[in-house]
Amino acid sequence: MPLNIIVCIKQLIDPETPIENLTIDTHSKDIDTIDHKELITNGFDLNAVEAALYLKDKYGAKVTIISLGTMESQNSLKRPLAMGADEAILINKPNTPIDSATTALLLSKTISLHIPFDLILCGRQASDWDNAEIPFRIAENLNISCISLVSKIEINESKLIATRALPNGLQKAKTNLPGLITITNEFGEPRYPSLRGIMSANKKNIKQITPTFLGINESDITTKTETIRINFQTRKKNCEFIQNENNEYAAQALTEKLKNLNLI
Amino acid sequence: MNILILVNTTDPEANSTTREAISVANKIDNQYSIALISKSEETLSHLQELNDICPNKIIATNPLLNTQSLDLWVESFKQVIKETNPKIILMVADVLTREISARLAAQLNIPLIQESSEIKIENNSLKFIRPIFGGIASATIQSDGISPLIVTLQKGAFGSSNIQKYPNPTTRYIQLELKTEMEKVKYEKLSPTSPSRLPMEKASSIVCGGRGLGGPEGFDLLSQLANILDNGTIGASRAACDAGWIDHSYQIGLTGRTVSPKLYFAIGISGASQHMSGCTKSQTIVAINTDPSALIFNEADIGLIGDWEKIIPILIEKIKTTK
Repeated sequence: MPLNIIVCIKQLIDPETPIENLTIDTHSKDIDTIDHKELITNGFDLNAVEAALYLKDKYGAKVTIISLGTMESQNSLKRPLAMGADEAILINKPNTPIDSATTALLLSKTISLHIPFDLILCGRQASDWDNAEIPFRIAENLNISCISLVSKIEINESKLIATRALPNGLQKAKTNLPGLITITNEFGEPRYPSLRGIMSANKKNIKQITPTFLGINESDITTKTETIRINFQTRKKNCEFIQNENNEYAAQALTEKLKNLNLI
Repeated sequence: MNILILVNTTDPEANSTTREAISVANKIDNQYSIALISKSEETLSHLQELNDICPNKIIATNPLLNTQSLDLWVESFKQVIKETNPKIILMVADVLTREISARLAAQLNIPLIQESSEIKIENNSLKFIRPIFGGIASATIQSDGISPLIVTLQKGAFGSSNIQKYPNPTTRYIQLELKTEMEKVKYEKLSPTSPSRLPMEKASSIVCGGRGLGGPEGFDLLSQLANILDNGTIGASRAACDAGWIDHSYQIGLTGRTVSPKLYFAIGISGASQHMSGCTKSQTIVAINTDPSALIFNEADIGLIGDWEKIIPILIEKIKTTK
């Protein structure tokens, strides 16, 4: 039997966006782009998609992508489909601000519609708030084992063998399926979609699910933590430029500068 | 009891990180405890420094406790929380506690605030400030009063100046109830990566390369520069590591290492906030980049617009003759 794999992905503002193009959205108490630029898929989540497709290539699997977002997020769900995922589900994000607990609950309830699943994959964290909280909440909600910061995975007779990339080294971990793992960028770069993949992704329907369908009414949503304000940090320095009309002169000027600062 | 500090007893720096958490607790309320969990009390002897700087200590043990197992950590801390009924739970953020805190919050259905770097008391309520978007912005967060509230503290953000001596601290012992079947994931021992290298956190000079190097060869030249600098080593941005040009253990940034050398060279690095949050504490940042509009020039102290491949060999010669 092919594996049933679920990958949770998040759309966010491109982390390379210059600070001048960012603004504070006072309604959602979050950061937005001035020109409402299209969101991108969190980089670590694409690593998780890659991990799912690696397992699909090796053992055979059905890969389902789940995301919580607005209608505009539909576009970014096309990319994992074009990479080779089989289907995608978009949970319509409620209008009221929601916290991590509610986000994890909506994702967990959607995943529960896919029982029996073998494996849930998530990126290690989202590059906007870097909470690294949702995957663990999903694993706890579903009462399954979880392994974080995984850079390598193998499956052997419904046992999952994972290698964790930790700050000071590598660690092996084993568990029984079903389980949840969080994938780190050490897993490897996500593949590029093929032309055929892009064409078939365009034909695929993205299934929409509302919170009400999952048994969560918007009026009942409460938050345990509340963001009261967002401030930009002013850390712009005054960079002193070394004139570079010729490399020889510039290298000499830099050397003198560093010498005067007692840095060399 | 109002505040409970949960200690990662396996952290080699547990003494200093816990001092930091104690310093934070002292600021909020003087009724607090630190909780240490282990197989047995004897294995906690390395944490004796903490004995007289907190009013209450909790030692929770069970011979079955394998500290490799995150499942057992979560279960043990959950039992300590239920026994002690705190209002606020503090943990110093690291790879282990970030996972434990999220799992505890989910299991106990309680609020969690991650990576707080500043705590303020406004109108009798606590406000937690934390960096977001790689540190270009900060969010001020409050909880709705559901207790306990879990807060993880950014390592190094608070300092440990607010420490008092407690001549007669109390100690409470808790016998943890653990079963082997609670260990859903089996973890093997960590195999450390290249311990022979100079740890980046201890280097005085770091030459860091990014996507602009265009390939692995560039790091040879960067190493040559690092070798002639004071206590120097090389580093890399995530883009360079992900491209496979250099091992991920060299990665500096939000999901890599955080460094604060005297001299930091950013070569061919765009300057995305996720990278910068790992090196902004450097004393002097020198950026070399061909793109004058690169974000890195907003962060650097000294900037040089140009081709690193041409400039660095000359720079190496100039520095050698100056020395």
